[in-house]
Amino acid sequence: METKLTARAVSVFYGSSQALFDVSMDFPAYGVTALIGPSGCGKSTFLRCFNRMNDLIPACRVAGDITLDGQSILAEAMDAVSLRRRVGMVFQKPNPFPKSIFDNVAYGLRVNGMRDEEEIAAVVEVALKRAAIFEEVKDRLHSSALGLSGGQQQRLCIARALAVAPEVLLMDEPASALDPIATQKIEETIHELKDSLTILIVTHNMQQAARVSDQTAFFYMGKLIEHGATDKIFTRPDQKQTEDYITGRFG
Amino acid sequence: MVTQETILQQHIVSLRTRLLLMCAAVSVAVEDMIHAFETRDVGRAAAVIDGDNDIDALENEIDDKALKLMACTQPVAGDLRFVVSALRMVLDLERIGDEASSMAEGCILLQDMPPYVIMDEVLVFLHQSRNAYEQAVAAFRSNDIAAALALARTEDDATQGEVRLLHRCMQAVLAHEVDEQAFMHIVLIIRAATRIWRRSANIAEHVYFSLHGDSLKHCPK
Ligand SMILES: Nc1ncnc2c1ncn2[C@@H]1O[C@H](COP(=O)(O)OP(=O)(O)OP(=O)(O)O)[C@@H](O)[C@H]1O
Ligand SMILES: [Mg+2]
Repeated sequence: METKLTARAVSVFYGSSQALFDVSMDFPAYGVTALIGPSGCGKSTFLRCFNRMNDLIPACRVAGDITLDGQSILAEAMDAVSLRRRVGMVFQKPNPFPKSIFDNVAYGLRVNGMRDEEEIAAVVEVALKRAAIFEEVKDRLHSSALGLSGGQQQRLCIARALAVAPEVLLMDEPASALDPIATQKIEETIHELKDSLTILIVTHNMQQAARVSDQTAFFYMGKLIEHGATDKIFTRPDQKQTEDYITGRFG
Repeated sequence: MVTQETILQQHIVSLRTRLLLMCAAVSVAVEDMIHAFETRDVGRAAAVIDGDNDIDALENEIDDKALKLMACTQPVAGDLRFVVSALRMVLDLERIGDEASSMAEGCILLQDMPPYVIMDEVLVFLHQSRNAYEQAVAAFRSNDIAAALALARTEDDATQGEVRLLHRCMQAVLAHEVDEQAFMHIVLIIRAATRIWRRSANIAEHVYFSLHGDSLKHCPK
């Protein structure tokens, strides 16, 4: 199995307090890895390392090494903007720009220098289709994205992330603000995408982790406790802490 | 979130309690059947046959509970294995109840036969089979992985005991120590006792799977 991302002895500090301790793990190319664990255990902190979003937090310092296709991404030489094109991110709350549906998806293409409107239109359509929202919006591509439902907005944000053809997609609780039907659509979208992308998803929903992911990593108090095949973790975890967490016996 | 989790634990505890109750009901049936065999107590034998309905009702109830639990709380890990084991255990328990009941019928049919010498040996085998069942229940009750594993591996002992005893019965018939009609009832009782033993070993396998996570089924010893 080809490895897409590796984390080696990654520790993260916010000022003097350490949020992540010495985390090492590999992420295979293609497929979904779920990051689970109680609130504050460092899932989002870890996720943000992979596209250097932590750079944007002033007091935050990342130690250790992270590689994308074997290339260190924490190195000075790595340009954060081009890294973020390769490693896209979708957040908990859908955050479309107050622009048309079309322009939301086209935005990243234009920023990256694409000028040919016909080409842009074609790429936007493909991205909307991959995010499984095209059929719902094809007749109103030029209306405001803010008129969409929460679930549609989230899939639009996925389309926006996909438009620039990332290799990795980071999703931080992408469905936690959605109803079950919208959640199911997001999960189906993830399922469609995982053959062509490496996906890391943070979720508080155990069933969701069990449904969508191939690998699951359990974090507790900033430490990686257990990482393995999702079906193994959810039927026969090795660590008692993992078992206690996923069966709801925590604390 | 917290209430949801508590509900799951409550469901699990309640499922376990009903399962233990079913174990006890089956235990009574097996015990009474052996007593009926030993003392030729037809009343006891009839009670075992009557009691089988209650065991069947418990099977339905536990099945239903386990299904609802799965649908409503979607258990994982140890909880999931417990529920799956419970569903498997009720099948074996119900069958053990059936075996006890058909053995009780055999006891009734044997009531007018003379006390053949071979009966003592059959009784020993019935006790062994009953012990296997009690060990299975004890392993379940006390979550004892080692005891479950040990019992799961006695299936061959059951078969060997049966073959030896059937051979003894054959000799007894040939020596005219037992008449042919009684022989048939006795053979059926012996075979049912073997099945109780084997199903007890199955229960031990389910207990092992529930506690340990590995299946013992179809794997080399
Ligand atoms: N910008 C920040 N400044 C200071 N501390 C932070 C910051 N972000 C996170 N932390 C701290 O780092 C730790 C890990 O937080 P993080 O947000 O990564 O957890 P999480 O697992 O994503 O939690 P949740 O499930 O609630 O989203 C927490 O103790 C948190 O308080
Ligand atoms: Mg978070």
